[in-house]
Amino acid sequence: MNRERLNHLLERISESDEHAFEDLVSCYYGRLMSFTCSFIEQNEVAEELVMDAFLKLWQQRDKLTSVRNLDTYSYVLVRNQALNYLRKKKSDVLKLLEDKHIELIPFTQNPERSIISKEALSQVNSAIDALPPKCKMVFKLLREEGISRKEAAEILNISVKTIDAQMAIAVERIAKALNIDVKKGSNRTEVQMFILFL
Amino acid sequence: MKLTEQIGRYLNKEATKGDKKAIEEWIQENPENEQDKLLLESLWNSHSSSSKKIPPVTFIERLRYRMHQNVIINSKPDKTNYWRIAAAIVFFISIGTVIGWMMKSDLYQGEVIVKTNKGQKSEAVLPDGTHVWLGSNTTLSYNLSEWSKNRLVTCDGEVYFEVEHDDSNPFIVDADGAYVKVLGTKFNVRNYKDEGILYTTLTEGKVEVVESESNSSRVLQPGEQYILNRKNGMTEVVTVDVNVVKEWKDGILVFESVSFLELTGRLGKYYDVNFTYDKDQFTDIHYTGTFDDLTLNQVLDIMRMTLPFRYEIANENVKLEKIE
Repeated sequence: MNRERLNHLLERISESDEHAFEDLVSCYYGRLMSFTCSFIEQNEVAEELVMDAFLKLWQQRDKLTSVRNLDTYSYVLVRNQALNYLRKKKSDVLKLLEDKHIELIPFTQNPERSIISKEALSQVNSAIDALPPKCKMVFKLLREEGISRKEAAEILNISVKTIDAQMAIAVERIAKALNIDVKKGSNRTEVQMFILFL
Repeated sequence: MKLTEQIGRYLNKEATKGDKKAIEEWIQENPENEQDKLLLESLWNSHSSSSKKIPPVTFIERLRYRMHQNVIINSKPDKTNYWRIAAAIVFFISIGTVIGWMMKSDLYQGEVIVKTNKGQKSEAVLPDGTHVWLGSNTTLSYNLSEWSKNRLVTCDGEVYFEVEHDDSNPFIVDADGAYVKVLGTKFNVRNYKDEGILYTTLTEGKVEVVESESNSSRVLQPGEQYILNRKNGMTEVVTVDVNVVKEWKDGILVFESVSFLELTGRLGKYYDVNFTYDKDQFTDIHYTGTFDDLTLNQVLDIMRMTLPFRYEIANENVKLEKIE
């Protein structure tokens, strides 16, 4: 949804327009569900938490136009709902992302402009699928939701530095799966190695 | 600075000048790297926009109801909810069934309570799409985290159910130690604690009523009403006009040859008032009539057409006096 349309929707929502709110819900449902399911195993529970987040948005509708970034805001709302739920279940919040299945949208390629083989593609996909959970979550938020590193840091309650480090791991693994050398000055290294062997 | 980190920022279109310079240098080192950069970029951008999943109809419906209604989710261990949880635990202990104990241990994990106040009516859609209509002063609760395994709801008050069919997961209504078990059907449960009588009326399909104390069960056919009198433990099954129980949810009150005592009892419950009158003046009266979403005054005025009496409404008290 573009900025202009979103602002228009928010304006209508702040005037208690329920249809506008339902439009917003339709727009955000998928991404919030997919995000919540990363923490919460049962689909019904995830759905209820997402609904609670939406209801909170609705309750605060008169203030929504002043929300700086609705993407971040709604993710944070639903994250807090999930955290509260897990805290109540006495789950270890730090282990939040461990042992949970985070579903990623696999890499695909345009068949007309296929640059890599099917095998290579599937290798990349299994590489990202095998990423550590935290890394996977960062990767998911940045790539699939198209949000900024700063926003992702806010949502996951970690530093931008950590985001960068996690992304570096992802890039490294993908590069490895594709046999891409992402070390700078690797030619030089080869020369040095050669010298060393001499 | 690691190149992988810089490529990461580049892919997310947040590269700094330094990042871009480093990537340029990397490409200069080996022309193949240019291809690799393009490959990474095309893969990163390859997804057809994410999560276009739209919410299911039941989600929107439930959201719509909850935007208007008095639904409490115990998502925070809120102090004000303690009494309710405590009450629920006492209630479960009192029925002392296995199911009760199982539920108790899960109470903190997402009990959803749908509640109406006196004189209110409400509709709700449960997570499986089951549609419920709540009568006045009614509490319906269920456990969310157990829902996919157990479609179990507890009910105090009057609820009309239209249950979504699911062979693998029966829908069970816990009405104080009597259980109504269904697969997919339409029925009404009236279980006000102060009345001491459970009425289960089937309008469509098939339900089984299990009474835990005597461990007896009875399968109902459409049009049958199961009555459990908690005071003496007697049960009976009678045939009733299903419209009577079905229509309250639409705001229509249907009376078919009912005694004056029952008439005022039901009107009292519906409008949340107490009737006072001299019983001797209103004996041997059987009233038949349908009231479609009317106010109490309108109902009383219609009744007066055939039954000469005058009435006086003061707060929650309605005084009736027969005119000779």
